[in-house]
Amino acid sequence: MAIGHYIKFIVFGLLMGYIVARIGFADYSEVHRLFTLTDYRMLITFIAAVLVAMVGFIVFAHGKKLQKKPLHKGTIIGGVMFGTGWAVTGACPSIAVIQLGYGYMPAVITVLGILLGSWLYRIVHRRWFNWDTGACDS
Amino acid sequence: MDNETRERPRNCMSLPGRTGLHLVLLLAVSLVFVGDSLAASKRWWAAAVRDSGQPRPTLYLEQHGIASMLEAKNSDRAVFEKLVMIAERGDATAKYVVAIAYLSGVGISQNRVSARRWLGRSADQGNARAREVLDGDMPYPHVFVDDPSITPQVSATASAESPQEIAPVPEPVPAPTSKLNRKSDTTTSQAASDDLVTVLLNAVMQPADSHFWVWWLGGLSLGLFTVGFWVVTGNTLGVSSSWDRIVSYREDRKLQAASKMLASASDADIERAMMEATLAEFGDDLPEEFREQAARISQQQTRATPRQSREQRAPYGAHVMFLLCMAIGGTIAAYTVGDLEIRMDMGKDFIRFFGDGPGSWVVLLVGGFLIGFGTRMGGGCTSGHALSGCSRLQVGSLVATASFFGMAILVSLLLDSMFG
Repeated sequence: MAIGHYIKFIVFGLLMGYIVARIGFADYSEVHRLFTLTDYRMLITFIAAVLVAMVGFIVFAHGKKLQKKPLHKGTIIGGVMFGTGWAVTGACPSIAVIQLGYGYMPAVITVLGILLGSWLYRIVHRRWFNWDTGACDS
Repeated sequence: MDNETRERPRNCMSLPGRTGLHLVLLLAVSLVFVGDSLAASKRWWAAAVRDSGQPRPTLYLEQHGIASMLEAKNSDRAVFEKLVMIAERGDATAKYVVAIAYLSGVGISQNRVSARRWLGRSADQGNARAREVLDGDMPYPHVFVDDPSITPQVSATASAESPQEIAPVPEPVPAPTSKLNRKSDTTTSQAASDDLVTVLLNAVMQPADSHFWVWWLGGLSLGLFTVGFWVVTGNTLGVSSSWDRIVSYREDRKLQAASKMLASASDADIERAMMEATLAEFGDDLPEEFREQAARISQQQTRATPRQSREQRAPYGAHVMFLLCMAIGGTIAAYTVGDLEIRMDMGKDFIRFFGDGPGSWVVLLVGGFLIGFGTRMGGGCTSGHALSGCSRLQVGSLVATASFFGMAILVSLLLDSMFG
């Protein structure tokens, strides 16, 4: 059982790293062009991905109960913080690791920052916030 | 009977159906495009630079302004002329690359005499590879023969020698005839003056010199991946939750121990323990009948029926492996496009904004912190919200995606205007 989990995550990790890097998310300049709206390729790619996933979920997840993503007080503030971080470092939680794999060594520091941020958030959340973030195992 | 009623509907997870296999197959098929058919002239130049013995070809191309020329979709001819200029200033690498271009007929018509001359000049400056090629009497095409996707455009006689001529480097359309080729050379901000139709067309029609996947290939792979992940693992894709798991190592151990205990204990044991805990907490506040019931339960004999373990959570180590393998996937991608090199900077645009010294590391740390904190606060990241949330039209995800995309656009435009 556990080994099955490992194999699945290894295969999907490799796939994800490959796909995301080939789309160009690991390239800071490419991401910057996406956000300054000077090159629409990645934006169109992303919209296409969401549409494909939408069709996939409609076909395969019909009538099944999936994780809900409710709107809560932290959604917008968290999103704004994340957006700032993404624009500055060119990374999101998965891209930081992929950048590192792609050869951009300073991404190690981004990874450290992410670890620090998520660790601190757990503490802050337990102490002051009490909303449901929609994560199913917390 | 008792067990059946206790079997609640799974609230977060959903088991994969057999149909999932089909989806995974589809995903695999879409990845057959791995050696993508789009030949890249950028890759050709980078390969030629690497072949000269230059350890960091991408950086070399950037430093000499060739990378930006290629990004601006200049023709191979223009790149060739630029390289001749650099070579005449005394750069041994450029001399070698010019020679290879002459040998291969890229950017200039094939000319072995000129190639020999440039090779000689490069070798005189101590370029070992140039000497090697000269001494080997310039075997054609010696550089990239094992990679069909970057076989250079060759003359008829040469292509007879190389049977793998599948994808010759497409010569970009000459500048005056094509409006599409108009893109700013130096920075991206100028391109904003292009009208929307041009920019959109540019995005849809993959330029020949791009490292990256054309939009439909990327979209198809990423979309299928998102669904495939859910079908196979039973969890919706969300990378920031993996980070969350990783930082909560201690709690994870506690939870594991608890679930192990629960799995081994019988139902009655658990019920009794819960009752006792309730009594201890509320004591006399509880109604009489509850306390009677509690007393009855605590006297019951323990049934020796261990509970069935319903382990659904992926183990801690799997999440670590997930992130590690993501990095390896990135390395594989970099290797397949011939762009793999260890760099101590984050690319030219990042350098333009923040430099590449310790100051930029602080920026990265703070940025990383914002990413970690923000994604957990918002309940997900790009993969969790934008990909697997928006595709199911979850309200929270739509709002979150709008806010982080919007903010990223604002900050990027701000960066451009500040450091442009």
